[in-house]
Amino acid sequence: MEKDILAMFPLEYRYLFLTAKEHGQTLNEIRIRAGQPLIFLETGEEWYVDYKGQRIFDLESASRLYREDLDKILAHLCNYSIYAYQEEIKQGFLTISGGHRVGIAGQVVMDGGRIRTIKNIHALNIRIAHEKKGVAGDFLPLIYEKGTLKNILIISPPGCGKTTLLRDFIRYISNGNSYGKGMTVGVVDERSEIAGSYMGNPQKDLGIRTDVLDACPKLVGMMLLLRSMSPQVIAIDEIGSVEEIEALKVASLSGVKIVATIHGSSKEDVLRKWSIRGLKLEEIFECIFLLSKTKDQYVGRKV
Amino acid sequence: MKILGLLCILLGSILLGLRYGWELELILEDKRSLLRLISLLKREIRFGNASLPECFYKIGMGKDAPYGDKLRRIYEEVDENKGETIPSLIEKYFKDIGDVEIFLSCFTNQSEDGGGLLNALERAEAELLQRKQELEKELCNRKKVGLSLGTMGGLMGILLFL
Repeated sequence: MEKDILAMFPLEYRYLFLTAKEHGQTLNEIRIRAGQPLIFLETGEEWYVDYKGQRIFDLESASRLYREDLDKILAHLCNYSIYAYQEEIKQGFLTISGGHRVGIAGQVVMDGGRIRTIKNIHALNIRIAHEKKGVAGDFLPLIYEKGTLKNILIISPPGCGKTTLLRDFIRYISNGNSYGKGMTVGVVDERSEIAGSYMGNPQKDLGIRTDVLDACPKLVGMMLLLRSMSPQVIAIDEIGSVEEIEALKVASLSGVKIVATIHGSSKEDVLRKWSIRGLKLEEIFECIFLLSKTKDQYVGRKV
Repeated sequence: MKILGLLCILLGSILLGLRYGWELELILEDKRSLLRLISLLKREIRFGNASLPECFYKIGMGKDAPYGDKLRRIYEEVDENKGETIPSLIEKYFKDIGDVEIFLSCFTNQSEDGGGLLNALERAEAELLQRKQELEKELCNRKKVGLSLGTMGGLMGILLFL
């Protein structure tokens, strides 16, 4: 992790990120905006670095990076192969080695109503990926019934750790645990968030029986996995469309178990929202978890 | 003595011509290798959408790859990620190659436009091709001059001998 942070930057800028490297375990984001102070976000705290790379809290003395610096950093992040990252740039983010995500802001070039590319990039938001192994451990007795896995849905507002929990569930299910045998898990990772794949290789530990389809649309990916990899479990992050739920229903009816996440703040809201569209999530999912955040603490419970 | 002097002059001229031709041939060989490398890079990018380190690795592992050893070393250094940029690594390993600045210019100032590097490689290819043609023309002319001088020298030698 600490090594990853320095590796993101060309040699000439690394001195500015030495403190960030030391705080790697708790650092959440590094925000680089052209001409603006370099901002580091660490569990609710914001700090900067001076021209020597020392951590400071005084905005006036904070180091700034400029457009040409940003261009060099972006080129380094893309291995000097920006052309190879066009599809990701179009979506506004890159996934780099270590599974960290780099958000991009700049001038959006449209082509027939679709984003062609983002140019004149002037802001980068580096989100440091943290892998928290064991967070799903307490929930394991709830997701199995006599050794059989239930279909699981994780409901959570953004930033409460639904992907982290999903990743840990996948790892436990794939490796096997004291409640159930190891199962073949197929992951459709549309935004490279679950596995944090870099050049197709998962950077996160998803277990020994997990196959990852990286950067693949969920709907296409689920069908592809079903046809080619015969998974026992399919895992997807952030269900967003009726078609995706229909596909999950089909997969579930064919005997495949489902582990999925969805945005929402309560079970009732989510179920109501989807029942309007004629879908009953409770018919698919036998085990629903709700995540929330209270005073810097992340709380998960079965609902 | 006259014959010996004549032979020395002739031999000297021939050796000088051969050395110059050989040097030109080496420069030409560099151009041919760079052109081949550019063509392979273009292929990897166009059809495989491979990143530069991937391209270097794939090309470097190929049989009879142009500058395979250098490409593999660049790939290894990028993989180690000590912070050196790819243009600086290319400069480091290709510095003894003629016209490397044309090749190097492709990797600096890449635009966010997807076609940036491919366009730059096309431009570099065109420029290198032009230089190669000029050199080939020069080599051809030198060969003609050398041949004419050799023939004249030979004729003069025969006349003197007679």
